[in-house]
Amino acid sequence: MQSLLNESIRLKILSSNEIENIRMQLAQLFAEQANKYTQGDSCSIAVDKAQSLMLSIIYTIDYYLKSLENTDVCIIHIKTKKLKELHVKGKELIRSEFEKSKKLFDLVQKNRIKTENYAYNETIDEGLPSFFKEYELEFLSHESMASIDYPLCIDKMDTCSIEYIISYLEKLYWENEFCSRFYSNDISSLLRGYSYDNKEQLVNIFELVLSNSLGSIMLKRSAQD
Amino acid sequence: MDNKFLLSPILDQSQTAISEIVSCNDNTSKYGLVLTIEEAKELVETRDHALKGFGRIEFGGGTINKIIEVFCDSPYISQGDYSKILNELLETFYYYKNETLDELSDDELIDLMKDNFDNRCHGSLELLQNRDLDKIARNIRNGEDDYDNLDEDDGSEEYFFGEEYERARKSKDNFLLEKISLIRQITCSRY
Repeated sequence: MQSLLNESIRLKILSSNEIENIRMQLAQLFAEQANKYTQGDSCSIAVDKAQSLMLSIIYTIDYYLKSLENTDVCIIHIKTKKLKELHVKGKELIRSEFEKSKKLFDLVQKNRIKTENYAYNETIDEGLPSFFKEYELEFLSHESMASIDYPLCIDKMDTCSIEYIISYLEKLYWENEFCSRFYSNDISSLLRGYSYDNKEQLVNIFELVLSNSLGSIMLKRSAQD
Repeated sequence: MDNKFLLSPILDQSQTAISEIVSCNDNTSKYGLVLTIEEAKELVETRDHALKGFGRIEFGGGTINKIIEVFCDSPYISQGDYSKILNELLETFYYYKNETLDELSDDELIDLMKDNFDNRCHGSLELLQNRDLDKIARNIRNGEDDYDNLDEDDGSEEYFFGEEYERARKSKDNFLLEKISLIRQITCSRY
């Protein structure tokens, strides 16, 4: 949203009155959220908490805007709709994505690789569950609350929070699905061959299996060899 | 565009605040306490300075008004030092919002300040800031449920000035109060 507003100012798509109106709406939205956060008990909050609340508001609005077809439609929404309305729609969208990510996590748990790799097991057993337990949509929608150590083969690190978790779980699911075509003993042997301390290493299992499988095919042998 | 730009409308509430402060005169004038527009401006400046200094953002406004409303009937505040005391109370309020880890609501903190200012500190801001509120904040940080229980031998009785003082306080005899206040200041400086 911030980059969109910046570009809109630069290209004079939004007038100075419209920009001022957006700022005032944002201030009002912030005041409402801060009041909700303090449960009406306090008229002031610490600056770091205020910044966090503002980031959460912007992330939630962003999430909705990013779901629209293109930037032109985003601008039309910003011009014609109240920010509060966009914030409510963002929250609804995140809520449904959160439910979707729970289902994805169930699938990941079902097709997980049987391995002794600590990072892999801890990410599935502790890191990801802590996200579902602690995620705070109302006031900290932009924060991940998860300790994810296991590296994916292709990890999209430019997203955060629910957006990152969904992307992470989708990729992990397909990586697991690929690895499930191989015997777990073969994967363990492959990891042992890769490194003596493979249990402690931050290594992507799928990438190893794929590259060795491709190598095997190039040697005119079975992919499972 | 950064967060400061987005937060700037929240920070710019001065004009509304000044007129709200001045409107409090309708209620406080019956206690002989009135603020001029200049003094209201000074209070807003103190608030902004305190918020910045203590790393806080005010989103609702009205803190100054709450302090005025609660403290206006204090027997220890006279027109001569009204504005000065309010400025000090405002700074004290934001400082102790942080020190009490936001565990107390605005109303609870202001009520505690007023109660201790009148009944234990007998109008001494130094004692309020450095003794009672400091103790309350420490109790809260230590997780004590009975955080506002200050009934221990902390020397508060030393600052009770006897029946003559209490009579002057009740009758709002400003001349006598100021005389006793002077004695108190000397005593406090020793403390």
